[in-house]
Amino acid sequence: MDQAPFDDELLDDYLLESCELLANIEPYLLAMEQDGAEIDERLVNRVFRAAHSIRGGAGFFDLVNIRELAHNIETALDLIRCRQMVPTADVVTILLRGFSKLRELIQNCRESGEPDIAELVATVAGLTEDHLPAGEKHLSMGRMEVAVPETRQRVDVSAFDLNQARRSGQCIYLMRYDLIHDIQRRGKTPWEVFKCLIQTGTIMETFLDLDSAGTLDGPPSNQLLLEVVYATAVEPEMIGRLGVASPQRVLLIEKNRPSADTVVRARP
Amino acid sequence: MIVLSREGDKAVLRPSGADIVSSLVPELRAQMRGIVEEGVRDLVVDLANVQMVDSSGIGLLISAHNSLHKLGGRLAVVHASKDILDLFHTMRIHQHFSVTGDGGED
Repeated sequence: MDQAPFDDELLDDYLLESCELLANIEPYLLAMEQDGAEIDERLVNRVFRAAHSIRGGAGFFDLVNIRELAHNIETALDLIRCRQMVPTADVVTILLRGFSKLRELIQNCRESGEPDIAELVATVAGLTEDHLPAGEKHLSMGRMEVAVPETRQRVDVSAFDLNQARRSGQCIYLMRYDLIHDIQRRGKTPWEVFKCLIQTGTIMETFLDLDSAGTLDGPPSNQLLLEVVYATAVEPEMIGRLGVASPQRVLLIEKNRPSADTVVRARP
Repeated sequence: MIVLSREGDKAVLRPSGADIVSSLVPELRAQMRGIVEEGVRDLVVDLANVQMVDSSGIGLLISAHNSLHKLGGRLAVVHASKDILDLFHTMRIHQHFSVTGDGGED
């Protein structure tokens, strides 16, 4: 019997986890305000990771408003983390508004794309604009092309994701799955594979190879290729054994070491 | 059973009480190929009664898109359940052809 290739489990997990992450955000932010310039790194990292996880999942599910808002909150928190912005009362007030709206959107995630949140997003983005050095204004936005070693291939990813992966010393891989051979014929579902990847890293982008499906003419294609650009702390020796279904091919794009200074510049 | 309604070069395929999984794919594929050969260029797949689309089913929809695209036509998927919409969005399929849900959302 064929297994369902998808279910609500993954989205339910994401929503549950997001609610848990948001549960204590207000007291954490107020504590950050009290600490001022003398930040408690563990505290800031905890709030940052909440925004990061929510943004990552929203990108995966294409929840546009949640992704945009969380992305801008995350960028502002990253500046606080790097001591480029002090969490003053004004800054924290804006972040509180942002997290409050995030909670509202997540609680109504099916309709989360409908409200016009442009003004709030601009206000949160304004924090970054006000505190980034002039030459780095576009750093948190835009896309970057990254070359895949040993191939002529270049992949287009979010500059922010790339910076995050580089600064936290993660490996970036290009993994190719054949959804028919690697997943369906092994009794697995795409959701199971995606879920495992999300738990151990960040899916930066996916590319479906339309040509691999062939056309209605001629014999049916027995493959469907999906490439995933993936950032994770999992080392190259272990990556092939990650998850419920091994990818057909794994290419290491970058192996990074943690650094506070490594930044990449997005296309203007 | 696959219900087909047709008007000129437009056709609507509505799998009825059957999910688009590997066991149904050959029949649906033959039907799609036949109507494209007969001149259909605007093909709508109505998923109102479909709960599940597996990897083979996704492959079939993409191959139909590829065939129609070559001929200057287009494929659209309508009335997809929220689960199917989620999966298609995750795989960025909606960036290649129109996929709308029960309420017409994309």
